[in-house]
Amino acid sequence: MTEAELIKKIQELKKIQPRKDWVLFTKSQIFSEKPKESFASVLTSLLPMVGKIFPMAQIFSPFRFLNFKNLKPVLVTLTSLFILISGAFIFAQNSLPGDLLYPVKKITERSQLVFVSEDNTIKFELNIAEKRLDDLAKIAEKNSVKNLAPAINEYKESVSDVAKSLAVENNKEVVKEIVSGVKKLEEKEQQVRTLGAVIGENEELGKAVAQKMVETLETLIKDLEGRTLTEDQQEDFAKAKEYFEAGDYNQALIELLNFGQERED
Amino acid sequence: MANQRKIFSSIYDKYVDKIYRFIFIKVSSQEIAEDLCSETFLRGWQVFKERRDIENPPAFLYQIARNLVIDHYREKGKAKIVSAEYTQITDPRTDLEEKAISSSDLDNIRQALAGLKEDYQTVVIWHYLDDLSVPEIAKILDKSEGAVRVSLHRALKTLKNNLG
Repeated sequence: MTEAELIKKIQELKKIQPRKDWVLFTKSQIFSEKPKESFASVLTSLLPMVGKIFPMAQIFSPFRFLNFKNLKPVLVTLTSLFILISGAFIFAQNSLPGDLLYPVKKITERSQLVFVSEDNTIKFELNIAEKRLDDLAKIAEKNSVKNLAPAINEYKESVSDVAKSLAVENNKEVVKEIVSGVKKLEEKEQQVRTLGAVIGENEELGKAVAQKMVETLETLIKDLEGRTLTEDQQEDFAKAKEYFEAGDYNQALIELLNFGQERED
Repeated sequence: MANQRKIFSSIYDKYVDKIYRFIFIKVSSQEIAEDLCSETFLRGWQVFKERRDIENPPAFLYQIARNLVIDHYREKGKAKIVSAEYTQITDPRTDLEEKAISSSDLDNIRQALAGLKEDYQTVVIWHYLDDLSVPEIAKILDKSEGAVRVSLHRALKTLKNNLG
């Protein structure tokens, strides 16, 4: 075989061709191919648009010297962290004492105290105590043994906070509200006990409530004794004193505070 | 972008047959040749979009195709052993009579070509099948023209012996 014959034979391989349908299909595939856009690329592509819409914002922007393309990994990391932390805070709201995310829930609740005025602090604390009792009720219902002890401790701590604040509270109206709130709390506590939770007595809160009521009643009685009262008022006052002497401080306080309101009207 | 698409579309139409054939002779499988060929043009299009200009499109595409073939054998852990005897050429023509006459000749020469080492295969395909000149091949392979001529001469000699 001569070299020319060999070359001619090689050139016969030109007959090898791809399938026509494959050629067309591949072409359409290549041009329809869209690269997947990452969140960071979308974000960086939006930044110049913001600049076009608000040209002045670009001038005053503290980021105008930064190259956002180089900041892509930073933006992605920050966004991921933000999503992760927000997610943890959202999930934490349904957590119970003893759960992994419970401290996050506690921090969230405590941080709200910053926005509460001093006069409303005790109400806020009472509200927290109610929430802890609700948590305890859920745990008792689910019979979740591992969460029970931490939940009881949390509830007792919150009740102790209410007792401490009540001991130094001087606003009679607030005391009245808290006393009635504590009564409701005790009723609810009784219901939780029936679910099998051994909570123990809230001696500190009981003492604080009793002491505060005695102090408030004594001040009110002393104040009213020095005033001129109508016959009806004298009758109501005598009734309130009877309750006080009989040890029904709650009823005595209600009578006197209502009496005071009527008098002011 | 529309203009770039138009330009690359004409590059595709012009070179798809050659690139496919180049790959097919090396891998001896229609399926693999189709996969690697579409990957070649896909990569080519992605680079073309970014750079907007490619000095020598065929050289650029051949280079991608060549690298993909090398990667293919590397990934599969295969030595460059081509099962030439058992691989039939896929001839797309539907004319069965013509196909029957030419298929044995095509198979013989393809088997002989497949038996060559990769460098020789490449220069033979480019020069005798794809009509690239020696200087063009030298440029793509970054070799001297003399070295390309020597490779071509040795490749033909080996082929002649193999077809013997």
